Amino acid sequence: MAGDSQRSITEPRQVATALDAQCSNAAEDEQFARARAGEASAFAGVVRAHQRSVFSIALRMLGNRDAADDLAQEVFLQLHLHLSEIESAAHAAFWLRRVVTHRAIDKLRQRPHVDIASLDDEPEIADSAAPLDPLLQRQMRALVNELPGPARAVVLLRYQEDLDPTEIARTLDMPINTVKSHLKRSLATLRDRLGVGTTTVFQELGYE
Amino acid sequence: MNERFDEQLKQALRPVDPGEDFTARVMARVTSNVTSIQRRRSPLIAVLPWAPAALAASLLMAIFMTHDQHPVEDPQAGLRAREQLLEALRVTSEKLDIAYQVVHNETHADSDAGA
Repeated sequence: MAGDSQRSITEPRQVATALDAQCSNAAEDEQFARARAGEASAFAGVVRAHQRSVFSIALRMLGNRDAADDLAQEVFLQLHLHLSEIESAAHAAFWLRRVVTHRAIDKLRQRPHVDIASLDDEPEIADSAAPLDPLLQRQMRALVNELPGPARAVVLLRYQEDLDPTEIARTLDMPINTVKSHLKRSLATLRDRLGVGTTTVFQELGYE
Repeated sequence: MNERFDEQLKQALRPVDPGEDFTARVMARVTSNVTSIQRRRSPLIAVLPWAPAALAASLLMAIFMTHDQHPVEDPQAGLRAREQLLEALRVTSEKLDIAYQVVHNETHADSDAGA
């Protein structure tokens, strides 16, 4: 039957993908368990696994590379102090995103004016597979940096970390409707400022 | 078109590297923090981990030697045992004093260095 043959084509790939995910998660959990047990090299592995994510959230929230570096280091230091409270590698990933975002929002509240010029320190991301306009990307990053702190955090968690609105709501302790509202308004602002058009991308993304 | 915008935004916000030495710097701070916490909790034990065992051994000796397990037939033997106990306690006390001085001096040196 057609349906069965379609399932037989897709299932092995899905099973392989699921198994790969399980193996990856098992390896990450094993490393995390060793880090919890006090193995320094294992904790260094946890740092390496998450440093790009944590640093990038800090950088795009604070808009300053040195401040982002300090914050990211402090967050990993706190992770080390709270290892006994964290149950798994996935929990650690959630904890790191949550802590770095909340701390960055707190820092923004203390000093709301961001040095936009320092964003030039952010390296251009080369992608030979899908060449996109680097100037447009720079403009996008600059506009994201102008968003209010909580809205900026929502956009980063959605587009940098690829979290869905439910996960973003959990990470930020924010009602899901507030998350969707931030996304809707932020995307509209970005599109308007970039002159991209005003069609309801929010609806197409399924957030309404 | 909207998917293109979405993809461009994801590309613009892809994570970036913090630098090659980031992990090393984090681990250096972690190690420093752990050492600092251990010293604050028990500076004496950090320098002389055998100090509690030495104290416990001295106390056990004191209990054993002062407890009347057998009738004292030779008062001189009792006096000698007492002298030996006092000597053991004196030696332990001297070592603890030395350890305290070491820790005290190191703590002040760290404070002066702004650590």
